[in-house]
Amino acid sequence: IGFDVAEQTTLPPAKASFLCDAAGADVVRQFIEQYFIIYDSANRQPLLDAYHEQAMLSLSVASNSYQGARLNNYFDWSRNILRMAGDKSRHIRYGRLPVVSFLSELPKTQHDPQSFSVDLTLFTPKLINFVVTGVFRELSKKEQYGNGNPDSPKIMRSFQRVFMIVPMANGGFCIRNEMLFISNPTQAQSKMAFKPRPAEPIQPAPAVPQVAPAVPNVVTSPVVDEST
Amino acid sequence: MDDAMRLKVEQCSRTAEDFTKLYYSSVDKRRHQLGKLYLDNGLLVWNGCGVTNRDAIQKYILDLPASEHNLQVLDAQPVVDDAVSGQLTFLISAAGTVKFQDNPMRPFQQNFIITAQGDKWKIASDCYRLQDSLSTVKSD
Repeated sequence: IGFDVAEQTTLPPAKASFLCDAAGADVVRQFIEQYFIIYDSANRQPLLDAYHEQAMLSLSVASNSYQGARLNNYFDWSRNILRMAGDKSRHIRYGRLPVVSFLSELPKTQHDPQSFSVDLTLFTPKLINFVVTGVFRELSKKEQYGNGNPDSPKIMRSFQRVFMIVPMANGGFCIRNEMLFISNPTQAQSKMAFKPRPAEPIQPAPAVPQVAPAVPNVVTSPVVDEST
Repeated sequence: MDDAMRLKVEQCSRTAEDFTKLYYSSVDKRRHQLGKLYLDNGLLVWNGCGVTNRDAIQKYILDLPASEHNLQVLDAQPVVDDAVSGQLTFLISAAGTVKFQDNPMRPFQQNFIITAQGDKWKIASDCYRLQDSLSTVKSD
């Protein structure tokens, strides 16, 4: 007779998206669509409209490459608190203009929307937080400038973007905080990148519809709990 | 950036470092204590699976295979919008590698919204993604 100490060793299956509130689906979908159309275009300046006057953006880059092309194009701007001495506000872009001029300097890209996973973690009338994870490829010099070696290798990257967005007076939304993370893709990611996959549309997770009303209270009036 | 904002960023960065140190040592070695780090009505989104409330989150994480996280990259920002006025709220972005028991080592990214409750930091939302969570070919 043995002991029942067998531990779980398999991971729960992943889902493409989580929505803490079904009402957020359209807002988030539209926002992501519009954002990446501009981000992937030849000119990122129109993103000025997507950022709050006091928007904050920082980029961080995986410190070791698992495989693939070096991340040199990004390292100089990377903010990694674990490796920072001195002024911690270094490498935070603050204000609409610095944010967008910074983004304009990053390599031109083409994102693969099919690779995206989207997690909406906060949805309140005043504040929305969501996380987009996926892959993009960097455009070659030929694609960017019309010259260069057409056979140059296609560089693939993995990314994650955290957006904190707020409503604007005109009914739209703008980005208050954004954190962008870039690393090299894993083999599995490279293999699946830019290939069609079964559609799994962004939809609410039916099991947890009660999340939405709970979280806003937390952020706007956290002191309530103490008084009870 | 003015001095007040610099201070906020400084505090946010220090908190992010302290917080993640505690978080990853808890999730790898003292999972039964992890629940305490979340708000009562906190949210965990684990590779797209949503879990709400502290007790349910604690149980969900306890049921995961044993883990070894190696934190390599950390970024954080204060949220200074009117929507959170008077309430200290930080965004934290963490990345590194993780090995779950019997599984190969993989890159992960994790994002937290933490908020001050009294004199304690609590997780309002925690969003965990294995970097290639959606790229793994299903084996069925």
